[in-house]
Amino acid sequence: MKHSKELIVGLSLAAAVVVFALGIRFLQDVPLFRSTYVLYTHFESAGGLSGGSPIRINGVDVGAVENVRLDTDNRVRVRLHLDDNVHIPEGSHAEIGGIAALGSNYVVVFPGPPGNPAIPGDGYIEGVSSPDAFEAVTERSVRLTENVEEALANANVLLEDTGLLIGETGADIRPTLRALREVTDALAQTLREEQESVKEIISNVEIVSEDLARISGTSADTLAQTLHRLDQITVHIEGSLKTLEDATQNLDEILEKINNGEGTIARLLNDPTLYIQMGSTLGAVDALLQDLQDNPRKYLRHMDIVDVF
Amino acid sequence: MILLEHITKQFNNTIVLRDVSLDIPEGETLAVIGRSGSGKSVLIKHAVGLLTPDEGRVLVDGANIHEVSYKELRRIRRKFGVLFQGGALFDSMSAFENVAFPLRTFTGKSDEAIRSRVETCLDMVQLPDIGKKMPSELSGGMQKRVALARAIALEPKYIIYDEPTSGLDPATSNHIDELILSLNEKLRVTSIVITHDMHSVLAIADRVAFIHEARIAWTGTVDDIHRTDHESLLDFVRANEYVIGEQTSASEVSLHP
Amino acid sequence: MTYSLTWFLRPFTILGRYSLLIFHAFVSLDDFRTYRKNTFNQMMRIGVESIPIVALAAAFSGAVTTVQVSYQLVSVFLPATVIGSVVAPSMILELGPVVTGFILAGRVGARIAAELGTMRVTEQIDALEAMGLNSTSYLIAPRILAGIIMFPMLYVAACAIGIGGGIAVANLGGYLTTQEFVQGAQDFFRPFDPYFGLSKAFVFGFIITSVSCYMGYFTAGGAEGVGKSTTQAAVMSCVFILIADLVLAVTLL
Repeated sequence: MKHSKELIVGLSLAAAVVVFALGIRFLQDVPLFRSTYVLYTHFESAGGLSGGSPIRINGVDVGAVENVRLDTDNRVRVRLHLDDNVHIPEGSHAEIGGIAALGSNYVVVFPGPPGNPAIPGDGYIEGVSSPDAFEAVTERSVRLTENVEEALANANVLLEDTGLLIGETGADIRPTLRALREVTDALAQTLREEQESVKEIISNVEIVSEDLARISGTSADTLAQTLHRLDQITVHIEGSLKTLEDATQNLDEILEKINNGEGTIARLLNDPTLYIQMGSTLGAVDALLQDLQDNPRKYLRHMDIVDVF
Repeated sequence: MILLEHITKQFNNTIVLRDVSLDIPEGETLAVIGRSGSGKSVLIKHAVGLLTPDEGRVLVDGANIHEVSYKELRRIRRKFGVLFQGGALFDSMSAFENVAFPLRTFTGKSDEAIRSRVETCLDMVQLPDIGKKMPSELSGGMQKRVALARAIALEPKYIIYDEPTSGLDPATSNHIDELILSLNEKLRVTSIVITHDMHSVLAIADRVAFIHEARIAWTGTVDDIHRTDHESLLDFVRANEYVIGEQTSASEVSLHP
Repeated sequence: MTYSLTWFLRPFTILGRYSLLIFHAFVSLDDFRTYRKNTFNQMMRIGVESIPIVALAAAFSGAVTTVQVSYQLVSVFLPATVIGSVVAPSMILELGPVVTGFILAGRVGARIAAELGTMRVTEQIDALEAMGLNSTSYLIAPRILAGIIMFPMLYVAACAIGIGGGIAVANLGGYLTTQEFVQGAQDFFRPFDPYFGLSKAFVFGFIITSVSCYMGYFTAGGAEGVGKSTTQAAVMSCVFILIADLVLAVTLL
């Protein structure tokens, strides 16, 4: 009798421990009885990743993060629990996906060549740190604006100088023209480069808005914050566009002066490279303007979906 | 040797005991008498440290029980057997287990030794066959006798009886009186008996203390009672004789419900 | 003046008396052998015998939450899995421990207070003391120990059964499928949650048993006093559970 009482108490406690442990495993999406194996990886930043975050290959859940720790060298060490039937070949790498601000991070595994042997348990999979899509947008657009502004400021100064020189007949315009060519070269290059990054930004923004649309409804506050940030970016980009327009106007004015000019015009016109250079620069500026003016609409359209919530 | 010195105790601004001093030498049986609510029970609760006096002190074998550590106090308490007014049997345990409880808790005796001791004690109170019964299945008088068996199980040096015979029929009362007498003689037990049953007092007590209006109004030997001219005590003794008749019939009702 | 001062200081007096009682119960545990049997008895009564009522309450609260969440969150933009994401954490964080706590405040708290109160008014506690036993260690320590050991067990049972009840009603009522429910529960699961719930259960177990022991141990005034203590034990346990619930949420979440 006495023993059976102790037995019942013991049994119920043991049952509770088992249910608790299995329950946590179950809710973490770790298979209850099927075994898993462990890989670990390093990231520069955990970026919102935590124990229980899913692991995905091509969008399919294949396991869960067990824990996220700081290593002795301050890098982030992440233990991954992967389902036993998932084979990750050598040469694969892992990245952090999702948006930290919305608490929906996951680990994306990009499998290496399928022919390679699988990484064994407790092995290491390379972790590639890609900045959070959001941070990327903010960082990039700020950098872009700065670059463009700098180039434009330089151009303005030089163009003003040129205007001054053109007004004074008989002055030697040669160094001025050389400088102008350098400037336009630089401007063209900047614009060409930044056109790429603007495209990248736009595609990033699209990813973000897709993520937003998917997760919408879970955290309205974070969404409001996100929208606010995106608005700021737009304002920024619009500011840069205005500066760019001012600059082109300046260029137009100068060209007009050159066309109507006196003795120096011939020499100026004899330098076709400059002309072509200017033409292509203006073309690039136009394209950029077009792109930038179109694209805010593009992501604002995505925003509209989000606004429903 | 139990010494109570200048005990004063009050509850909610009512003084229950006022400067009460008593000494109970080894081997003596002291009867404390007085009306209901006169503070008799409060007095004996001081003797085992269940209550702490506002003033005064209690010495048991020379140790002030309100100054020693709790551990030491509990060691001293094991010298006592206390029979409470309502028996105070543990109602979650059978009669046998109640008597065995102090033996199990404080002695390392084998189950066999405990069983024989419990049987001896139950025999002493003339209840040999009720071991398996639960307290709720026993009458008030039987409960009290089991409680007495429990109080003597550890062969205490001091026994305190709080109304040992109230609610019992005269035959059982007499038997309890004899039991108290024989314990005193055989084991040289020192006893304090709280009662208002003058029959008991006359049968068992060596000395009597009469509590009246929160004080010890009178002390003396049993023989002294017959010669006293103390008003209140005489009132009490006379009234008691009248009450005894009533009590007897009342106890019979409670024994055979 | 004196009266109002006494009135003002009364809560502190009670807190002090309560703390000393619990302290007293645990400092002079001299021989565990004496209390072991008692502890197991209390574990049976407080823990194992409470399983059916806790299971019933948990199953129903899980089921009701599921139905209400599906009623409140009807939207074309929300996937059905959201219901699982709401029900499972509510059960683990709040409903599991609090429903268990309230049920047991009534069931266990009242029982403890009635037992100890009766022992007090029938002088059984005095009898224990007069024998030379530490009545607090003998009566209170096993009950509190049983409370803090068995409540987490009951909490685990309540969560498992509550979520089970939610899934059952989700299926039977046609709100969502088991797969959707489980998917939703897993998507927003944080491993900290069950440990938080477990610590809540631990604290509630202590509160219910200790408060009820206090109420019972200091009962005065016969049968009426026992009745008063019993009611007080259940009421005060509930009040302190609510307070502790808030304090824990503020400090640990």
